[in-house]
Amino acid sequence: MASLKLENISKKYPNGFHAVKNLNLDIKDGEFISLVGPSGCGKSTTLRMVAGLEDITGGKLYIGDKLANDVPAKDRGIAMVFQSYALFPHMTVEANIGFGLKIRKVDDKIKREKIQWALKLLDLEGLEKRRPSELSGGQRQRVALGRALVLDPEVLLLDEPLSNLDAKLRIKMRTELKRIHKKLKSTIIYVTHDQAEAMTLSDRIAIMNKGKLMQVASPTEIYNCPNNKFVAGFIGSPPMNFIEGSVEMIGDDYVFNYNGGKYTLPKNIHQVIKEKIKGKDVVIGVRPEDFDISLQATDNAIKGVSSVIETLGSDDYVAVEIGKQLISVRIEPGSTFPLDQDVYLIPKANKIHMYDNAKD
Amino acid sequence: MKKKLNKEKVIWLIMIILCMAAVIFPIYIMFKYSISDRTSWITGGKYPIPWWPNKPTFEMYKYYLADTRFWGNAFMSLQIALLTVAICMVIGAPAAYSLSRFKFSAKGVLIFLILSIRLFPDISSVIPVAYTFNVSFLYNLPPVVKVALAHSVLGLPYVVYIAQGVFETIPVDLEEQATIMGASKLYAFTRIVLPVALPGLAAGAIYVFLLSWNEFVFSYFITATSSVSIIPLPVYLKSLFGAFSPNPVSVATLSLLVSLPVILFTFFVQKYMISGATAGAVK
Repeated sequence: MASLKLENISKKYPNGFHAVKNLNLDIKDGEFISLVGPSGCGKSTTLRMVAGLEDITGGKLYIGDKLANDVPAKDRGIAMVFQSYALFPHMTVEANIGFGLKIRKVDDKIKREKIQWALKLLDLEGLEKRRPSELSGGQRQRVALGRALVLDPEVLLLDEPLSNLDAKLRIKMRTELKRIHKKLKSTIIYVTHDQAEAMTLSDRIAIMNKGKLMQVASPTEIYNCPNNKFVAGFIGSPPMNFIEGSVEMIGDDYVFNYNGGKYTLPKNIHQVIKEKIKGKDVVIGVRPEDFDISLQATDNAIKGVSSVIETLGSDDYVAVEIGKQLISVRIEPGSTFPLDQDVYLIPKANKIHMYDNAKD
Repeated sequence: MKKKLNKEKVIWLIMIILCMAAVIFPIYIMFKYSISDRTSWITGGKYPIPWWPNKPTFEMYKYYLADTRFWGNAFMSLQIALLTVAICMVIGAPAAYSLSRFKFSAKGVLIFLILSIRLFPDISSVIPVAYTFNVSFLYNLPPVVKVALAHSVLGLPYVVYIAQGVFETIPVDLEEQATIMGASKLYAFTRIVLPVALPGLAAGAIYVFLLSWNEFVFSYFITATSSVSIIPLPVYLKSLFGAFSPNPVSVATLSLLVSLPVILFTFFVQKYMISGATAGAVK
């Protein structure tokens, strides 16, 4: 196992496209880190640069404490699982798993032991002689994982390994991956566009957008303290609500003006406004579960109209119209909520996020 | 349940029958003549030639199958065809691989140029080709090699075209995976790409084999100028047309003997020619 250091890593294609911009990331030995972001944010490119499949056009990559920029892929001590699994269709499960060992001319006996170990670890016993076309999606995925694990990689790279599985299997494999990581303590870089996967699996999450790193932190920290609007909107399901408006100082207080309403912001957010907010136009972000919703008129609240109810079983959400903006508020599951009524929303004081509207 | 024959179906059926007739009728005529006895084709104009021989006989087959000259020529055709396949595959497959994998400018033009060889009628390109074979060092090559080289000119565009399509269906992921696991480019190509591409490449190989086996124009112009007595089968067939009108029985028999292996071969490998092997590689 090894640590990994990305220092100002950049990728610029000959056609001028700047896929990754000055990425800095320290990955600890044995850490499970996810690269998350929308399509085209540069997460897969980053992974391919670490793998050695893509040239690094700027910056330095250290695997362990060795500079690895010009080390060929096969000598980097990494293994990778592709989104497509990339199983060799003409080889059996056994041969697929043993392929890397065969190239490394590992002793036959050790090779067989390793293959058996992987088959057992991944619950693939009895399928040794099958070909990939005779396996289910989940089995193929596990073969691909086994093929990577038998090589004892310093770093394991996973490129959206679960995205081709159906929803149920994906959740099962998620748990499985976590179990394997706990057991083997490998350093894992996991690329996904699914924030739920990243949240459940990772020690830390690195969120990328348009080639730039937005935030790296633990799942809890990212969820509770997203440091910009993009991160705030990307993590969480349903996503964080954003209400556009402006701030002005009235007396000692900051007042948030939105769509014809006024809301006096709690004191604890003053510091944030002083430090981070440059202009007048802002958005405040509040997660659906961080509102108190009431039908009784309240002095200081955000006023809206309840419009529809969405039921997820474990949670119910009521959609509230604030002028033209639509936000989602969590309510007690199973409760009936009157629709087309004026409602008053009070965000929890320490759960209000505020960002400049011009940015991002 | 009673099958309904509506108008539309009848029209389709007639088309199929017409198609079958166009294919089978010449073969039938060929076969009929090949087993005809003398009275069935020399009627002196008095009687019409019968649709089926009066006394069917396999005499001519026996004659050719016992003829060492026939076997010598057949063996030469086989050698030429196999050599042509080998040349086309060794040159064409790597060429197709680079066309499908590497990005370079004017790729489209290059593919067009390769295919454009087939735009000329054989009869117009045969003269420069045969001339080249006669005036250069190629003249001293054994006839088998000469004809195979000429056939390769005809076969290569097909191989490149077919193989390029085959390689494009093989995901790059497979090679990248092999590379990460420690394989060199060559190892990944020979152990991963080639085996997966094999059924597709086989289609190209079979096509070239048939092309070479059936080819007449180039074989004729290249072998006719040398004094060898052994010649490819299609040229041998032509040699039956001497100064006099040929015996239709021997022409028909030889024609069938030349085409029969091809017909049987195609029948058995046609499934193989269209199969793909990438199932299960990528979901």
